[in-house]
Amino acid sequence: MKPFTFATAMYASGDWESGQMVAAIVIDSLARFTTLDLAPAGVNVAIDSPGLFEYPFLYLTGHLPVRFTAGERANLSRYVERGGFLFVDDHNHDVDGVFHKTATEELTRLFGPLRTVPNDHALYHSFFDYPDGPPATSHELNGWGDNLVHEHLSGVMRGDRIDVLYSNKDYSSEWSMHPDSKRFLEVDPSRFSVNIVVYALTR
Amino acid sequence: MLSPADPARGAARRAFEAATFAAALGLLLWLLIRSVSGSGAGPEERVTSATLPAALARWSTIDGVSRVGVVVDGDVSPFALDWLAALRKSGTPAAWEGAPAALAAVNDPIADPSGGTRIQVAAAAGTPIALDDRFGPLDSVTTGQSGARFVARSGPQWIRARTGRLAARASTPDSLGFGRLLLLARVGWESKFVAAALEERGWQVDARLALSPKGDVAPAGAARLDTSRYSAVIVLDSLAPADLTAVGPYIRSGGGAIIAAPALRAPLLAGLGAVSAAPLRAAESFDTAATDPRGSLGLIPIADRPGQLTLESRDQWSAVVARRIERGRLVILGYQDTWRWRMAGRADGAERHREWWAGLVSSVARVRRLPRPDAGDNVDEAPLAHLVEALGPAAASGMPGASGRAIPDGWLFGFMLGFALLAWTSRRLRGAP
Repeated sequence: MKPFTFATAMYASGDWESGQMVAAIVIDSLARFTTLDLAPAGVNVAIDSPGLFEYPFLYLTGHLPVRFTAGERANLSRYVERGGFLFVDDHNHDVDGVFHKTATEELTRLFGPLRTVPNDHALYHSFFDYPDGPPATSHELNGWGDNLVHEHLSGVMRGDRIDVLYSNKDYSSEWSMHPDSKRFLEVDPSRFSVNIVVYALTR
Repeated sequence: MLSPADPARGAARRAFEAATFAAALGLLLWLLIRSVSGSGAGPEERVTSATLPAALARWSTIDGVSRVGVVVDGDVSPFALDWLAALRKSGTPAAWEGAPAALAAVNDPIADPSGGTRIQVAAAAGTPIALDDRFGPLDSVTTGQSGARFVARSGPQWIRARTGRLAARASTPDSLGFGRLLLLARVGWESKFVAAALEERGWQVDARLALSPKGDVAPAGAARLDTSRYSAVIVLDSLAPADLTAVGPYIRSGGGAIIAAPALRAPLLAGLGAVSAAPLRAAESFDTAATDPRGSLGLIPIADRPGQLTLESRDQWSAVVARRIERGRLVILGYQDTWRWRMAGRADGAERHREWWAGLVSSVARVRRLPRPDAGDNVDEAPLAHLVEALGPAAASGMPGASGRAIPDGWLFGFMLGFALLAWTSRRLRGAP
């Protein structure tokens, strides 16, 4: 059986590689808390390549404007339609930021308007319990970016099922650390990533 | 008035009158004899398949027949056959001739919530079969050595399989009551996409998935594995939760199971099958143009065992095998990561993946069969057997003649009146008393 592989989306525009530490820390958390069969390292996969379909979990982030090519749009649309899970995180944490504006435009063009994920959604209980919805990041609490604590995540949903999860909370910054650094923190900040991956694997 | 100068014509006319009078008298005597002797129950009749329905209505009313014969040169409805059988049992000798092909058909519902029936037709090899339901033609095929099989996704309750002469009519004898499916595996893409495919197909899937030392993913209020609740169990790997102890007894008591080859490593399942010592066939990149999508999947070859039937093979290796274990059915699956077919296959990959998994489950699933009260209407699964049962074997001799119907008594009486009237009129016109 193929192990779970954390895949980061490569796209032609913007800075897809801005969250390069994220894969390692998510894999570390999955290994700490679950018995999932894991690939020890993440992969980067171009979203206009056939290889995309070998990785049903895809993480996409950046700071810069996102404009998908026609090939990227076609592949991404097919990917989600077939059951792939796309997690998009705004690395700016800024509702006026160019990534947020352009990425949500692209997602809306592909899948329709994003909907608010209710804070009692199964995503928040798929492994760890988050009764108040998505955990706040230190960037939100320190007033960086748009100086907002975003209460909800949003997404493309089929009924109650999330196909595309969109975050303004800048988890990419929150999880950009060496996994070994987590031992200095009281609570592992990447625990919520376990919920996201387990949700993608089970719903 | 005849002139005295024409004696020849007068003699001829008298002879004509005598003849018509004699004919009328003869017919009257014939009718009297028939009514007294009881031989006037009716004439013999010989009809074809096409004219049989109208003849049956006639034979069963005032215009009875003494003996009937049917030339079976086309379809005879079960209703007409039953009517003929009743006529025969009520005392009218009935026989048939012809050489209709032996034919039988069954229409069995598939254990699949999305519906469909599996139609099997038995006939001599090379027989052309046309299949239709109440709404029109479904398919046609020429039978092979083992007859012909159709899968009708529309799930017709009633079908008709026609050859040149006879038609078999079959109805689904019962409807199905589905249980749930239990999926035992570790959390992973295979468990996710197998559950998704089967749920999209209409199955209700309870997934118990190993996830962490903290706990497993399990449905709320999950029940124990037994045949009253679950139609089948699917075990994808040996790290599945502790329910594995119940899998063997569940199959033996009549449950259905699909076990992926990695799960056979679990000691509790090792007795149900074995993997081959042949090396693992590695997964390959998916060729989206490939006509054999499972050719790109990794494969753990299944070891051959007595009593095991290979359903699919790749090269010389068994990829999918089936076997019976006491009252239950088991399919062992050698393919790995079938989810790749759904994600990376051709445009119809998701649909084909769903159909393939649904087909595997339907081949083992235990479903309750609930009889249909109206299943017997217009059903004749084996028309030649029905014909022989109703009328006996084809007549070598003794069929009514091919001359058609004898003249009925009403017509004879009319002829008699006509002759008498003719004689009387002729006499009156020449002035005779």
